[in-house]
Amino acid sequence: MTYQYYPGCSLHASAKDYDQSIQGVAQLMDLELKEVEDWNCCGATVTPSLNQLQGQVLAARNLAIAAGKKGDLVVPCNACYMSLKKVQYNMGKYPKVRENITDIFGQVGLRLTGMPKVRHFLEVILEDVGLEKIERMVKKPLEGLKVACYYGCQLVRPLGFDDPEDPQSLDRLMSTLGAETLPYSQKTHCCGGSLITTQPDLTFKMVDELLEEARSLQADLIVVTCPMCQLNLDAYQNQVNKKFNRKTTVPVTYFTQLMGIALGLSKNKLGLKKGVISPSKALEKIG
Amino acid sequence: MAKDFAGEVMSYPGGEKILACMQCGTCTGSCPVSHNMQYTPRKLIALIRANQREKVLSSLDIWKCVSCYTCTARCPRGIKFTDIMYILKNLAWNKEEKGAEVKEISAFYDSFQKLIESRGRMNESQLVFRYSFRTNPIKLLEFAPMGLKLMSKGRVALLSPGVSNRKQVQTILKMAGERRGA
Repeated sequence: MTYQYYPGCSLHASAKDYDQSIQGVAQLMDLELKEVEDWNCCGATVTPSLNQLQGQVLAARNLAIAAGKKGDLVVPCNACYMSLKKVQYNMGKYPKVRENITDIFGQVGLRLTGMPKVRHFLEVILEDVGLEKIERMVKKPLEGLKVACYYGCQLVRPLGFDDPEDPQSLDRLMSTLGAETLPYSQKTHCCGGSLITTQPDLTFKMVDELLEEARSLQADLIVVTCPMCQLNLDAYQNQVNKKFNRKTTVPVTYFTQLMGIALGLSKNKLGLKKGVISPSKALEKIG
Repeated sequence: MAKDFAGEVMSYPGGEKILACMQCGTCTGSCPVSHNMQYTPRKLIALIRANQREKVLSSLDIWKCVSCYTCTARCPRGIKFTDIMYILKNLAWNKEEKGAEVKEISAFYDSFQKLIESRGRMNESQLVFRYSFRTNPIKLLEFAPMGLKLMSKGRVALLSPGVSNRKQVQTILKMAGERRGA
């Protein structure tokens, strides 16, 4: 199967491990990912905060480049996923938005005819590959590994493919790989997003609550689907732990890294050494 | 006749249902940051409908929204309050005078935006540099331990490539900026 791939800015920097593990897993499953040519930032939550139309043209330019080409548009980042999906939704719902964007695009030679469907990589794994096939492909079950599946916000709200309050897709995938999924009640709570830069007092508390529940459940790992969630929970974890006087750490890995392990990919190809909080000890459980 | 503030909010995509609010407070109860707000989501809706434009737009609270969309998912009246927050931030951003307490946040948003305007893609390290120099360079020292750690893990791309067709990105941003709204 062929897909168009929109990595988003983080996957070229702080989330290279996510990109690496996606490439590895995709290859194994015969998913051909073709990177969208000359893609640009989706605007995230910043540009639309300053000017909604600017946010929408940014997101829509990627859709225009991908329009008319073969394959759904696969997005690994929750925030990019939502931004791209939302502009598509808004163009359908609000004629004014559609007119503005098509008019501006008309003047620079961009066309939106034949826009692709926007899908998260997790969605593609579940719906196009399917858990039955994945189960047959497991070479090294994640037996004994206790994981807290953390979906974050924008994967499931407001336009996600799973339940906005109690999604199950990631839990089902992890169970299929042999891991024990924990009843993580904050699975769709917010990590604070980009506010962690400007309002750390407010957001460190949010991160701490997420980590604390995972610790109380004795999770070996928190599994994530988004580079922003990963950064906040992993890269900021030492600072957060210091602030709240917590003594233990919890590694935060991408679902694709765990998939890679279970499907027998070499650990070196999964970017597992890139976590600030190393997952090595937790992964010793599965050998 | 001049539009009142509720009418103004309703004229933007996502703001149309604000009059349906019954002040039940599900939004505030669901909001992960409302505990830190003077004007919570429910109160903001009440203030908008009471035509308190200045009070709402000069508030730091509208910049605390983390875009988690929980209020939107849960509102029994189908109000997209996250979208309303975007409308409020847009209107506040257009004001000539921004309050002193919004200064830091403005610097972050502006640094991000300038980066996108100049290269079409975000670069995390450049963003931190720009933001720190705009606010207080001492911040760089606060970011340093984490930055160095990320660098040692190969997670910092000081010079990641930008968009090739920057002119196109700049043109569409400029045209969209001139239209305001929507």
